[in-house]
Amino acid sequence: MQRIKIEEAEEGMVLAKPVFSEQGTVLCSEGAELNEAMISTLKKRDVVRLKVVGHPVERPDEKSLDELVKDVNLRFSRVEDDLNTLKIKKIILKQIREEYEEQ
Amino acid sequence: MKREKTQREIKKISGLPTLPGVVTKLCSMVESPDVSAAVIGKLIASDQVLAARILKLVNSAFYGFPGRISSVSQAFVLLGFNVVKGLAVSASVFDMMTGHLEGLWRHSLACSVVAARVARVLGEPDAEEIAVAALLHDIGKVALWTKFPYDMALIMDEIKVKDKTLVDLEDERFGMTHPEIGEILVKQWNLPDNLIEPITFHHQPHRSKKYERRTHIIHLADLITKGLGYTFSTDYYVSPLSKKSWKYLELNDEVLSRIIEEVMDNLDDIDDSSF
Repeated sequence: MQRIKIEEAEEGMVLAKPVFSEQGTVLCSEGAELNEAMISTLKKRDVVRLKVVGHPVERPDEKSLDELVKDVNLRFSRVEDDLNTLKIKKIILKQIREEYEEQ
Repeated sequence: MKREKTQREIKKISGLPTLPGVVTKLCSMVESPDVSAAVIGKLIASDQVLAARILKLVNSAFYGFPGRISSVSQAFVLLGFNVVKGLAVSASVFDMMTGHLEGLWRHSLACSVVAARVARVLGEPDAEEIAVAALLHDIGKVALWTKFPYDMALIMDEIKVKDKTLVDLEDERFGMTHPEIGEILVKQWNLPDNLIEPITFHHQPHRSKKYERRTHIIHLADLITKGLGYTFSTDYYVSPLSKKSWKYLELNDEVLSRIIEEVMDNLDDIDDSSF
């Protein structure tokens, strides 16, 4: 799953999460395949961000999953013996992995 | 450096010579029936740049607030005097920070987004006030960096090699710590105790007396913010979560997963927009 900006959306990308309007109603459901009409509707409704399946957008400054994991480990390197804090670290790592891996 | 000397230096900047006139005026006011939405709206509207920044903050850092807030008087009605005042102070104080201190603003903004989310997930009312306390929690660092940049740079080096916390190193060098200095500042700005206590004790939440819940929330939010990479140079490493916070907030894996997942959705907005 990847979080992308609406400007990066392209035809054929598949939504990994539903898109909501500001009022909280569903504009597009999970699993929907994007087409030009949908993208322009979402833009009109001021949607800024989407979550799509896979990792379709390559960004030059983007860190790899390995690098992200390494950074988290370094940040938590001084609390290696505190169980509760390590639980938080584990959840952060899990979320980062989930965002990267295919659904 | 002696505690007394540090206090003297800090007192000098808490006189607010550099803050815009509107903010100084705002800081001299306390919540009362005379302080109405119309009065505050008019006062802040006289500084358009400040008004715009406050509106940008309420509409984005507190992501999840239902509906858009379009005027300062509307923000006052919805969020209260102290939230608006806290935002005005934050926007102005952090405005003075340039260069590498921008990272501290980013950390503070992220912490406020995280704190608001923690508060909402835990069903806490007043999420916006908690978010403002989070926005201000490291204000003492702004003072330290402004007054003692050389000493802070030395601490930055020390923290990499010594297994000591930032708070310990500050105490050794200044006889005071950034939460204590933050307390001095926000007291001078006449902010209420429910905003002061979480700032004073964000590294020692077990010492909080009256506003324990808020203090534990800020402590947790600060940790999650750092854990997610919104760190500031002198404070790169995550410190242990207070055991009391875990108990007091009745945390568990499920609640934390929800908080962290929702927070990651909100935090991108910080990187996108300039405040």
